[in-house]
Amino acid sequence: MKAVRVGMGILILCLLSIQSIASAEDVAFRLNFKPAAPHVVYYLAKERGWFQEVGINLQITPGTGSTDSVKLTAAGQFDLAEAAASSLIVGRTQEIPVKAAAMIYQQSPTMLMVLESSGIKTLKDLIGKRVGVRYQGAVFPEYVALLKKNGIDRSQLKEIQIGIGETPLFVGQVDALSNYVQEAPRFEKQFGKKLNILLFTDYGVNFYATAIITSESTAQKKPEMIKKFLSTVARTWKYVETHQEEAVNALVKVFPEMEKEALVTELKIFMPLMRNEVTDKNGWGYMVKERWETDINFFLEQEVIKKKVDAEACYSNAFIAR
Amino acid sequence: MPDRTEYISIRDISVQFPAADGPILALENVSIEIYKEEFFSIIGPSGCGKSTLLNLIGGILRPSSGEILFPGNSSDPFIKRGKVSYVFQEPVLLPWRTLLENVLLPLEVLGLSTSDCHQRARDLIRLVGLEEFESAYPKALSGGMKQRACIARALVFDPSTLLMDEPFGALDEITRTTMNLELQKIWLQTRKTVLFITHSIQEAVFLSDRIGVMSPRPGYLKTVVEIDLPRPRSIDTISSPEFAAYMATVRGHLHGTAGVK
Amino acid sequence: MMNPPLRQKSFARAILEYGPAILITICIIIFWEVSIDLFRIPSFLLPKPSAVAVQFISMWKIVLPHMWVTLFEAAMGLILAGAISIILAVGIVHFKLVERTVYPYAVATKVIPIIAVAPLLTIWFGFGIAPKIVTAILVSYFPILVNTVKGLQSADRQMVRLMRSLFATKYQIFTKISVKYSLPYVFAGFRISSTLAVIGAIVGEFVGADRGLGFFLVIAQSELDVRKMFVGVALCALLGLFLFLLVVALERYFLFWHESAETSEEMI
Repeated sequence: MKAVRVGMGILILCLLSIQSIASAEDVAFRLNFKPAAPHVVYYLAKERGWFQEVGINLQITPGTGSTDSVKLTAAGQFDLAEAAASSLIVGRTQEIPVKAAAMIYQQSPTMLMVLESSGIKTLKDLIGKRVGVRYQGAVFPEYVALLKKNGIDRSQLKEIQIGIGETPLFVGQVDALSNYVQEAPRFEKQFGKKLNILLFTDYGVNFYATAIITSESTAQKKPEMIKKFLSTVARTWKYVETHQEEAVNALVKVFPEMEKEALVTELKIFMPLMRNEVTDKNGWGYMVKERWETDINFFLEQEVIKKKVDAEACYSNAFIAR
Repeated sequence: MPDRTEYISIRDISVQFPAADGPILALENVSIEIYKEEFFSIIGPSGCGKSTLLNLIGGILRPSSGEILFPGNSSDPFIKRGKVSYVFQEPVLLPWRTLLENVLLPLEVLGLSTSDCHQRARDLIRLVGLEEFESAYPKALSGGMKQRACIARALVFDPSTLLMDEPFGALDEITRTTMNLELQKIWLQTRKTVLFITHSIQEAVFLSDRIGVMSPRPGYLKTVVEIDLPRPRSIDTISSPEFAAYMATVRGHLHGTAGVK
Repeated sequence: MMNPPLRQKSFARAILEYGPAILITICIIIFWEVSIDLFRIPSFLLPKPSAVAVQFISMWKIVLPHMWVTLFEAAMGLILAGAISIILAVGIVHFKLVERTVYPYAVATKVIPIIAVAPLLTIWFGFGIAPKIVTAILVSYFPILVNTVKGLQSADRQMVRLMRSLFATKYQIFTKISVKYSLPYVFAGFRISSTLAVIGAIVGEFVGADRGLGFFLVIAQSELDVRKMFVGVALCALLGLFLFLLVVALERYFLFWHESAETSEEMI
């Protein structure tokens, strides 16, 4: 009698564990901002069930900036999130336990945009002009690096603190402000004015930008999940290379108010920024210690951060698919 | 006995108020003659239009029909400024002004020179027995004291007519009797024409030369009772058999054949 | 006007009045300090009060100027909101036309969320101090407006009747009677609005500033420095409290005659 009972118990336990292995786990994922072209990959893969196939039930939440992503991920509200590397570094100085699992941009998309009508063509033309800065933004340290690298002192420009939005440029309150290069065509259309782009990488500044981050505890407890997530994303990006319209459609299906044409243009500009020799060799999202160190050292030098952060603690390539 | 100069003539006054379900007749064909410098009380059940009558005389209300004639045979329904003064049941003083400043208020409104009348105000305050409290604020005064202040204020601009609408109604009996004595003293000194509304038969008999008894709504004047008691009247007067007889007379008219109390 | 009567507060009475609040505050702070270690709350989520205090001491020279800026914006906003609202209220009470045109707009303006309007204000007014004062006004004007209207209509009816019997002009009734009767209501409105004005100023600073507590909070947020954020928040609260107490003090001075004001007789 006792043996039968024990046997039944074991059987039930086995069945239950099989059940939990077979069903998908919920994964909470946060975008860095409102949905845009760089996010098509998640929505496409979700629509096609590619996440489901690997046992991930993905919940995508639009975001409100990198600092929030860092905090919320550390607090356990999200398993994975998009956040700028600079925010991650700043977070680590505050002992916030997050790390990057993959680097989305291998080439920094950051740019300063100016109105074509202003006649500003190069960085040096900005001397004496008004630049809109967001001290709280992820881009600010990059901007400082940009000026330094090109021999321009910050006092030579007039810095004006602005909030979110690009309107100050288009109503003439500032002469230049920063954003990501793939968004420029959308602004040109929205405000009806042509823009000149000053791309940071053209001027020798290439900071690590948006990454996929996770908390240290999630990295410890769910490494397989992260691996599967990243491999699915890498796979889907490959697919998107030849199926761009399809990818855009997947996004527009969820957010019908978005404009297809603009998204396709944005996607075309954005996609090449994810590739370089490092990723070709090691896989999408692969990170390199030297680049983390360069960025951290620069932040320290410019007193964007007050204490040094260990580069190796900031990231891990352990989850990248080859 | 006051000399019988006609002062205010109320002839066949009716007053109607509009209401949700048809107009209400407050006063019906009321006629009274009020004599100069007399103390005339009006007594009657609730809702009989006593206050309405007072407001008519004070010029706040216009009659729906009939007329009121004022001294000089003027039928101008609104008495000129400075002739009529009110004292209400609630002694309302401006809480941010001292007693003296409150008494001075009517003079400010009427534009009369305050430096002359400052002294007059002080005299009146002394008359009502409140000279120690000249600089006090209404917060610090009792109900009876506030009412005395209101009387001083009512007299400060030397009105000819004083309209008093149950001024002692909110006071307890002891204070009330005291105030009646006070009022008599003040009236004897200043000799104004007083129209006095009250619910108290004793008060009416004590203070008045004549008492007008009103019927329940729609109010009309049932009768006028003459009080022929010598002045100044005192507590002893109240205990006298003549006083009791007058009270009985008034009471009889009040609860007369009309039936409803 | 005569001098208001003095109120003597004995030491014991002061302790009785402020003691409980201070005691509770100390208890809360102690509990907070202890529970961080007790419940192993990570410091980047909730810092210890001691850490916040240390942070403040280390940077008070930097953060206090920000506080003065916000104080100025809030105070100016409150004063202007008061002036505008009172003038409008007087118009509303005396002219039916004004009531019918102004009141609906006053309500509609109140309903628009300030966080949506603030960026527009920076476009129209730039990034100086003006848009912050405007946001402070927008957020704080309504209680003063509503209360002043009510207050002006609250004059004692008997008193008004008395004035009418003296054939007082509308102007006389307004200046001698209505204004002072309305003061308790007006001050009640200012009490509410004082704290709102601080919020308005800070919201204005969120969307574009280089000074002020709102700006300080934005920087702290970008540095992911929770202790700094708490310093900022604590100072915001103090600012609100300060303005509120200022209004209360003014109220006590101007409304010494009101029943609600304490007198030594009533304090047993």
